[in-house]
Amino acid sequence: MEFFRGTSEVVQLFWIYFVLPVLVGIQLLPLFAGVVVLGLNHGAYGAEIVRGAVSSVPKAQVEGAKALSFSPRDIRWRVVMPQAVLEMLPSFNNLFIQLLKSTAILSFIVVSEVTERGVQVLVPNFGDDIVLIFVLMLLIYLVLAVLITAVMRWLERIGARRLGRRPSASARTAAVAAAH
Amino acid sequence: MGWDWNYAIAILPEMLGALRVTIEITLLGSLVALVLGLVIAVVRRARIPVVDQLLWAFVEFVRSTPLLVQVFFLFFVLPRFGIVLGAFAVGVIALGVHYATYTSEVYRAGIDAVPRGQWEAAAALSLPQSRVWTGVILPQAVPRVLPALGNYVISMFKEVPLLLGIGVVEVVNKAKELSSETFRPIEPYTIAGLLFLALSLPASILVRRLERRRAAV
Repeated sequence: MEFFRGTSEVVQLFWIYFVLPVLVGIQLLPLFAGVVVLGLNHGAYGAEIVRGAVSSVPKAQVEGAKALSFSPRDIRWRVVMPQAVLEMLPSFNNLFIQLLKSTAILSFIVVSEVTERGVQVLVPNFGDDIVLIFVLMLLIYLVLAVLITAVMRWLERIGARRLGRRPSASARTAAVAAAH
Repeated sequence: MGWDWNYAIAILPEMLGALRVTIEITLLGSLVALVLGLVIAVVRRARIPVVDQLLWAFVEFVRSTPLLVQVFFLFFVLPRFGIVLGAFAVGVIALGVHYATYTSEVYRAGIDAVPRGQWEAAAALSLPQSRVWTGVILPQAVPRVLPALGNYVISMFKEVPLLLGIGVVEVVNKAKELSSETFRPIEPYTIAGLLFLALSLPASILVRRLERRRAAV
């Protein structure tokens, strides 16, 4: 965990893509190397979010469930998790947007994603339209980010309704400040 | 092909030289992010119509699009409009502005956490607006958010390698150069990773300690 959080994603990407093949003789496909690095990296942050959310569920909830002789499994999945998941959603929203933005670095190992196509293919061929190309690239990312936020808000509303709560605005702003 | 100590030691000075570039960009970028973020937070607090909406849109836009694309934009598109910046300057500006959108939110949270009574007392003493900010609000708001700001500085440090896309010779770009000269990728990239760890681990321990001290007060 500390390794992923302590080094740059680009270093990890280059290490797994250029060094690993020399060390163990396995050449990863660029897309696969990218998925592994971004997955592990953001997974390390995601684990932190889940841990924080689970520990933020009031202890009285667990004690209450115990008093009602819920099984440990039911306490975990029917009492703690539904509340923790709702707590996690705003942070995961930020994490997914970070992940979306990080995919641009895969252009360094020539994965044909938006940035690579734009900068390596479109700009050299249609240099006169460079402004348009960049505006479109930025818009693609912006639309995807808005979509992620829309879906997460929708999940938040569903989660809150199933808990019989209203989605809290304060939880969202707190998550924005605590992101990263 | 295994680890070659002689080669590793031979390239170390060059790698350290590149680390210096990374640190310079991090520090200058942080300066931009910390100052610009504060400006954005204070101006947005005034809720000036139109300006506020424009700033909101700008912040959301910058936060939602990749830093790398913004770097390319500054480097390749701005010259079309007659603004030519060097790669180093683009790096500092792009990192600084990108992270200013994050630090502005942090400052905002810190300012919101200052009790209302402080504002009211400052108004009752009819302090001028500038002294309300510099003498009353910010001295209380900023120390509270120092750990969060510190975390963003560490994040910026780790994002500097993106600038290899526009040819800034920072740590990872140096490693790339060395490994393509000698066809030995193991040592340069591993040293690059270790250099990042060597700086960011102590820095994050420092921030965590600061966090605990804040929590204790």
